Amino acid sequence: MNKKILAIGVAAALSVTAVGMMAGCGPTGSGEAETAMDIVAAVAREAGSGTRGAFDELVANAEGNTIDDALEGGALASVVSEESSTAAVITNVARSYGILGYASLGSYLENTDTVQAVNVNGVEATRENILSGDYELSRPFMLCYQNYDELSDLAKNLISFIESTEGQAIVGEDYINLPEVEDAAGEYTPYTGSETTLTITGSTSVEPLMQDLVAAFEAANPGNNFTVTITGSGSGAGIADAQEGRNDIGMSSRALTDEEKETLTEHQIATDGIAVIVKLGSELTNVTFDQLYNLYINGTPIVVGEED
Amino acid sequence: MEKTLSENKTPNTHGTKVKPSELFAKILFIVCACISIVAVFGIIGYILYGSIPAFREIGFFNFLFGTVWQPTYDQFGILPMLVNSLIVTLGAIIIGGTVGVFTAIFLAFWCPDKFHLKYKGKNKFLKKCVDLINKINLRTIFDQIIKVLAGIPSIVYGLFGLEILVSAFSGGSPIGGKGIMTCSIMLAIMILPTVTSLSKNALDAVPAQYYEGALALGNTKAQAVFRVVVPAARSGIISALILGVGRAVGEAMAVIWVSGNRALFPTGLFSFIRTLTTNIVMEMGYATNIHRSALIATGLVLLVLVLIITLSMNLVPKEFKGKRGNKVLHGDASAKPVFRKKGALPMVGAIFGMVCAGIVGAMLLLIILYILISGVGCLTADFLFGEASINEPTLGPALLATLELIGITLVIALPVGICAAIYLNEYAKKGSKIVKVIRTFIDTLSGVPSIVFGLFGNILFVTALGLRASVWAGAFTMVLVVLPTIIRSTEEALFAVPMPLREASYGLGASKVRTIFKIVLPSAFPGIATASILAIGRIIGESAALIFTMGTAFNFSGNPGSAGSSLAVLLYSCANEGFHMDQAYALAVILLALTLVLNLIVYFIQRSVKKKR
Repeated sequence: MNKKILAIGVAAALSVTAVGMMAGCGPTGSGEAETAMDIVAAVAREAGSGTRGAFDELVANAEGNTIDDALEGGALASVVSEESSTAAVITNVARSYGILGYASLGSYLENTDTVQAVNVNGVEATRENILSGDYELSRPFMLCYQNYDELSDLAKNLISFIESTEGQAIVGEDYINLPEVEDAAGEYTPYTGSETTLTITGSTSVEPLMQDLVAAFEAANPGNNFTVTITGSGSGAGIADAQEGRNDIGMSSRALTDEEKETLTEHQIATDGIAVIVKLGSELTNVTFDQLYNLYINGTPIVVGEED
Repeated sequence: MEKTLSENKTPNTHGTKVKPSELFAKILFIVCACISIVAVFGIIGYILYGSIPAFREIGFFNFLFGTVWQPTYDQFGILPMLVNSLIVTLGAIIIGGTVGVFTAIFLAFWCPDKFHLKYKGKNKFLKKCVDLINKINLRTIFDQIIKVLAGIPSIVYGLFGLEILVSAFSGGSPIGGKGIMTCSIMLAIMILPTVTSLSKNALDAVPAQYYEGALALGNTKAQAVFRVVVPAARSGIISALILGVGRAVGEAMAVIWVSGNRALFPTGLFSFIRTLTTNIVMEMGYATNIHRSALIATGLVLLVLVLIITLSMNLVPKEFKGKRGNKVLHGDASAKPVFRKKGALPMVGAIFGMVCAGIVGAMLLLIILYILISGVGCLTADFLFGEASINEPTLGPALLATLELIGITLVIALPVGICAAIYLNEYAKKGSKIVKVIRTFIDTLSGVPSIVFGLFGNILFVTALGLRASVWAGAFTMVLVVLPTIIRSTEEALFAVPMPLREASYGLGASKVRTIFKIVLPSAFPGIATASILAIGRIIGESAALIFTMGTAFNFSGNPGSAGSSLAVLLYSCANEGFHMDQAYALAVILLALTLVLNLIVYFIQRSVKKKR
């Protein structure tokens, strides 16, 4: 028996050293697979997510029915899994060439080492194409608050920063500026007011952009004595917080509903594309709305190499 | 034991009059002991209150037995998720329970203390190596392995499950790999530490005479263990399994990665499913109005499920132990003796135990290797020592927020927990009804899933009391989470203080309160220190209860009134949007290291205590 234990111990020690040598950063790659594999499975976001809402509303089949229409009384195909975060979508897509998913364009651009975007209806997901409307998968990034006049000076100053030349440059790095705001953008006047705290809560999709903006905002106010807190709790939570006065500004990755607009003002700060992504190296280059609809609703595989 | 002689008799050193300070102290202890009762009712009350709009609008039966969950179309039926939760838990307890119990049996009876290697060569270095290996205490190492497994944050298990388990099960196919099977195995791994350590405690508690007697009657070792000791420890083992079930039902953060999260009935071992807990975590951020209320109601169903499980644990009769064991012994003696040189079945069990222990060891090795390989390269100086900024997560602010969280939580929870334990051990009559009730509520509180604590903290502290997402709100929530751990370990420490110490103190004329504070508490100090460290471990590893109460901000001002991320929550938010995966893996390494350090501290405290005795 002792010999057995010894054997187990030796085997364990060997594997420790063997794998220890390969230590690196990031997840280890899964096995190689065919890059021309058909797309047979898909990843969706959970109901209520801003990304999912925009995707379901926009993607329609040849007859003009959207995924939203199909879901009323129906359900997604059984080959579709739901994930609660962009990271989970990207990690899952990166597992196999047979899986397709969608994610915020900004998040995708940070993960081009594992996944790649495909053209949608023959159009590439670029800034120009989204602005011109040729690339059809996009959604607004919104701020929301009860009333602009009642905002604190600090909040107003942050918004003026976002809409200044400097702020618009940051928006333009990963997301798409609103042309009218970008054209009117000018010099930013540093904050001189007396408020010291600003709480921002809401959409996890808007959160990374807001973090970059606030970091630059703080840098633009050297020697500042204010603190800005950003919490990514989801669009719904951000809107509810704004309604009940638990934050100064709410973030939403979807337009507000008419009911929400009764109590809140929405303020668009950027447009975000939704990238359709597959594992890096896949030979799939283009998908049509009809193919996406059929994959997500009927589970019909997308055959790679047949696209036009 | 001698303890029963004088137990709980207040010394009559001051005549019949009780000093007001004594009375005040006693009342204080009782109040603290009752806080867990208040907490349980508070949680049930608030969750129920939050669920009422959903029940009113959807209808209780439509909610519970509806088969379609489509919040966007106002369809809220949780039956598929209820069924999934039950099946996955069953799977976890079958796999994890079997492996856990057999590992415990192996550890208790077959695990050799030390390697007994012999080296006859002349190489001095090799000889030293062999000597060193022989010095390693195997049992201790295995105990530590199990404790480390217990301390790894759920979210790390989730990443591991997705990248190792799902890939392994899918066999290269894009579909499959996620579902009931993967979830069950994932949860089995997660409940292993609980089941193993509690089963081992139960086996260790069986009097040695049982085992020795069985051997004396001519049983083989395997027969003695499986026919006598294991049946005698049955009630303890069943309790361990029930506690495992409770943990499996309540787990959220890990399951999300390996289940596919579709609110559908299962159609096979690898069809996408969603459980009750993940339903809450997935949609809470986006939910408003009736949807939000429906999610809180999901929490209520979960809570009721856990309550049923905890209460059924109380139905396992404690006296059962001895009777059952005696019966076996008597049975063997009165029946016609059948002599078998080798009982095949027990021997198979013994070997199976060894295999299970091997699996546990291998599992831990795999998880640790996975974390190290993914994360060590990510420990950059920028991340560790870089200046905090709002868009680049660094270790600094999270560490500060975690320390504040630990500080505030312990400042509240430790005094309350210790006072409660003092009441239970020093004042209450053993076996009295009040004690039973309080114990039941403490057990219930410890069984409440983290995500339900999160919901409760969000409704009460963040919203109703207007604390917003802040360290305060997080700490108040964590007080409830760690209170049962503190009470139970402190109670054990107090119980271990020998009775004659108290008697000597009374004999010298000291009052009861004075004895407790001057004699009992100082002697129990190492145990109380252990309790605090266990609590710290729980706080560091917690994520589900903190996301909705403390927020997920990267920066932290140092003011407990503002939002901040603890280390585990930072790991969650780093991994969430896919911007900071490197930092997430680095944090996993740091959390693992902290778990190891805390376990080592506990180990050394306990060893120093043992040496003293």
